[in-house]
Amino acid sequence: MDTTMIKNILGAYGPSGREDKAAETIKQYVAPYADEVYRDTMGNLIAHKRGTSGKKIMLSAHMDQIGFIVVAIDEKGFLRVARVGGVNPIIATAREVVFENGIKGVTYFENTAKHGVNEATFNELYIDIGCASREEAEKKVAIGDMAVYVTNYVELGERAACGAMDDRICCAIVAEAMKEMKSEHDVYAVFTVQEEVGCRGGSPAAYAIEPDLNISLDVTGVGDIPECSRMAVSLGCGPTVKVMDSSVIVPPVVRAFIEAAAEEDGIPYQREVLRAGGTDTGAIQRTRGGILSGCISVPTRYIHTPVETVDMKDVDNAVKLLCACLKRKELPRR
Amino acid sequence: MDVFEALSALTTTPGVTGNEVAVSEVVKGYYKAYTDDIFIDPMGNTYAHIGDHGPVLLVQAHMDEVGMMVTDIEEDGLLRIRSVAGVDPRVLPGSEVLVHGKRVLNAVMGAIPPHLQQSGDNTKPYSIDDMVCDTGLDAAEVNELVRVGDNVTFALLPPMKLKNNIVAGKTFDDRACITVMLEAMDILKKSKLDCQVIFCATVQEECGGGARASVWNAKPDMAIAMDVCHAPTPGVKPFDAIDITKVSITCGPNIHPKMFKMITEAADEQNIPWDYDVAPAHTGTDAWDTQIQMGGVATGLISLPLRYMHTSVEEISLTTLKNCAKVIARFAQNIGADWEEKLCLDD
Amino acid sequence: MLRRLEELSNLIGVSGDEGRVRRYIKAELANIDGLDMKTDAMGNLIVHKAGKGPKVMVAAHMDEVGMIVIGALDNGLIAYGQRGIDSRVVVSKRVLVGDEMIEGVIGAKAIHLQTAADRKTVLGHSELFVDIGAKDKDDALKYVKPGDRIGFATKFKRLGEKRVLGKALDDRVGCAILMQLLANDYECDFYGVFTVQEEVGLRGMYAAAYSVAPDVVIVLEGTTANDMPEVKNVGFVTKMSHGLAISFMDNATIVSPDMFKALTETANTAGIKWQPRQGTTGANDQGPAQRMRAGCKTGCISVPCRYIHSPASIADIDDIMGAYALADAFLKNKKFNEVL
Repeated sequence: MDTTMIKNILGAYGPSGREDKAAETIKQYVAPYADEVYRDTMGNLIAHKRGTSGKKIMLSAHMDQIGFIVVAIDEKGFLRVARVGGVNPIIATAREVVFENGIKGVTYFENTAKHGVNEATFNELYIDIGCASREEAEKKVAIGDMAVYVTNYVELGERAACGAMDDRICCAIVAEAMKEMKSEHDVYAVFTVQEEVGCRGGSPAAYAIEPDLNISLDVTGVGDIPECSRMAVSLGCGPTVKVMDSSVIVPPVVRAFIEAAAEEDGIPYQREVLRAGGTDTGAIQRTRGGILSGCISVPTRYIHTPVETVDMKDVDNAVKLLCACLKRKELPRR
Repeated sequence: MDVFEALSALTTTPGVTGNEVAVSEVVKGYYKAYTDDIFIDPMGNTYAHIGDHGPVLLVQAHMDEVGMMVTDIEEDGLLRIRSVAGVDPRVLPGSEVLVHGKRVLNAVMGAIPPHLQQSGDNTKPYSIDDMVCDTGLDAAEVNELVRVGDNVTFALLPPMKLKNNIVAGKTFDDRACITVMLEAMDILKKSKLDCQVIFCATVQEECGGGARASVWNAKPDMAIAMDVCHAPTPGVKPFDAIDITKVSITCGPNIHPKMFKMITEAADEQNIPWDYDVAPAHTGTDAWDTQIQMGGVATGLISLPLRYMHTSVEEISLTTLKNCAKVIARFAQNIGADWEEKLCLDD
Repeated sequence: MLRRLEELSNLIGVSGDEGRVRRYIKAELANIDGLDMKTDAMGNLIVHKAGKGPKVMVAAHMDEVGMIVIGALDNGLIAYGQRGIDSRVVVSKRVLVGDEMIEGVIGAKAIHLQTAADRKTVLGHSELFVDIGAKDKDDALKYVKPGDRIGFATKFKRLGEKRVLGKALDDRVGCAILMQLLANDYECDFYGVFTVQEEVGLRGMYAAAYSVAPDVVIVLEGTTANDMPEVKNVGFVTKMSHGLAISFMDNATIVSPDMFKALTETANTAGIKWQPRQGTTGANDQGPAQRMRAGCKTGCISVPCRYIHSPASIADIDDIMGAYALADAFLKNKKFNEVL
């Protein structure tokens, strides 16, 4: 896959609820391969490629990322923030962050006289944008503005680390699949909004599209780093076929459909049981009278930090697996 | 209908939350005695429709059961598992379980024995992560037969008959209420109804799933959810439990006040003993999601009191089970042309 | 509007039992022409004022936090359940029970009889009971039955010229404002929706938003004012008497930037004093509305109220009037078109 595309998609600004820039970036990569591209009321970016079978497949990858929202600006020009999505206050300390308008800042925590960083809470976190007063800060940033970690793409051999892998790497996978796929079905590639704040974007899109099958793409945890919680997923052993997470239990017929596609094309895959964390898969499954919904995930280390690490072999295989699913004539049925 | 026989068939079929296919087949088999109008939605909810005119009453009971799933296979072939929904890890050590791999394997839930633990450790309950699921097979065989994601259930032992019409067994939550639905269908088979009843065996109740879709597919004018509730056991506070001989009828914000009234009338008309279950907010049942779907559904909730919930020795009274069916059936029989007035909230 | 706020505040309408509030609103709106009123299966009151243009819904919730009778003890005391009430605020309060408004009190062990350890322990709801003066269990159940709602007996009062005291200002202020808006004519297909069960999980709005299928939703709320001396400036959610509050994010909703801008611009242009709702905690009816069906645009205008979810809260009349003025200006100037 084109590394420039991956870097551009990873680097686009887009915390939950502020996905315009990410959507613009992704749009340029999918528009050449779609019959129509539009955004819905929620802000989901939808690229539709027509088919002939009369069946509809929805692909969903979320384009929002975790971040910070300014809730107050104090007299000295420090920005007080609340979390947008699953930000850990300790990992969020001493980081470089950036706002939508390009203003940069760094983070730290108050009460350094009382305790160290390992006890810092979110209420103590602030962003320093280099201003000496509230008036000066208000010229650059307003209450309600959001910041994200500055992304820094680090190549580690066949692996790479970067912020926003969750879930832009899957946006890139879907964009690449739109280019490579052959499908007789109507394919709706949906780049969803607001997943990190409670899987809010996917269901309204599914309501409008009414697909026969949804395949979500997201990152998932691993069990191959030192002394971590047990999980039968390792980096580099293939994308995973989700069995369950805290938002969904994938119907066995959908799991079997994805696994059959993998086995037919000889694509390596792992089965994934994710203990904590939800995805759009569940919210989409519970839309209207129920939608068959499954998920392909990319094994990712250090999720929700600025160094989310994936293996590019898994990424390439995820594209192949997605294309293998899309080319199948028979879709899963109850 | 032989209620005990139906309960046995239903509770000895696996159907862990999210994988209810086998139990759905058994439910369908029973439905067929009463109607040909049967269908399954994409979630797996399994419906039977009776009646040909009038408003639609949706009756729900969930068919999924608490259970477990394989998360990891150790090098020596021991399995690691997690709860899919609702398993109390304290009941697991020493339990016989079944691993639903390529074929069904007998296994035991094991943990480090107390005499090998540090002193004081035996006062703490085991976490599910500390336990192993041991099939007794060697690693090669296990890897051939079992995969991550396979379900693990309690052993599928048939229910036992105890004294005073009390029965004990596994998965009475909520297969006993599926049995109530079947018994209600049996009572109604000779009735001329002025309503349509859609019975729905729902999926994924134990993790909040199937009820929503059941409303979208049945488009009901009113709904009665059925579930089990707690019967008194030692240490349970008053008002937290309902006598095992009484039908529990819920009131509170989750319940349409007129539905509550009509359900209690259906019980009183037949001199069926019942008691109030007051839910200040969440009822923890299919009723919770059902009420707010689409434009809102007039929702009621009937529960069957049960001892030792989510263990493999749950207890209910067969008399109360039949009484629940009588209440549902009478409720349906009482629905007439004036149903909209009866449900009107502005009087 | 203040007369209505007083009457609304004094009515008891605990979640799931909003009938008294709904009947009052229906009666008050009865003499406005062109309103079509409908009560749905959950008890939401949906008032439609048909017009040309986008479907605009303005919503306020009728329910309030309160308690529900679970049963009576042998000694005649009444056990209750609740949702959303801190047990520390109910001790030593007067309450009204059921449709007959039976008077009762919530007492506690006298301070003389408390041990030193007692004084340091918070009494939980399961240790507190409503006393209606009943002799025993049977006597108590003559007057009340399980499922009866229990509300606080607080009477609405004016505090000087500027402020009001009452129970359930969250969200009877919203109801009073919405009733006033329904008397006006706007160039849109207007729905005034009085929702139920907001306090037990934003539940009425799911059904109402599905039925109405609006393009734009404005929620009118009573929200936390925590401008206490101990709270640092950066910790405020809102400050009373600093104008109505406009939301950008809470636990249920991220307001789209165009909606936030449309509301703040309207306020600035009309010279209405406003503040951002700074905290991102809490949740309101915007959440279900925003994601219903294929989604819609939502915004929220709140009146800061001190001590919400307690038997007595305080709000500023200028903040209330400001919230009305902003909603009115937003609708009159067709600002909803800017978010479509």
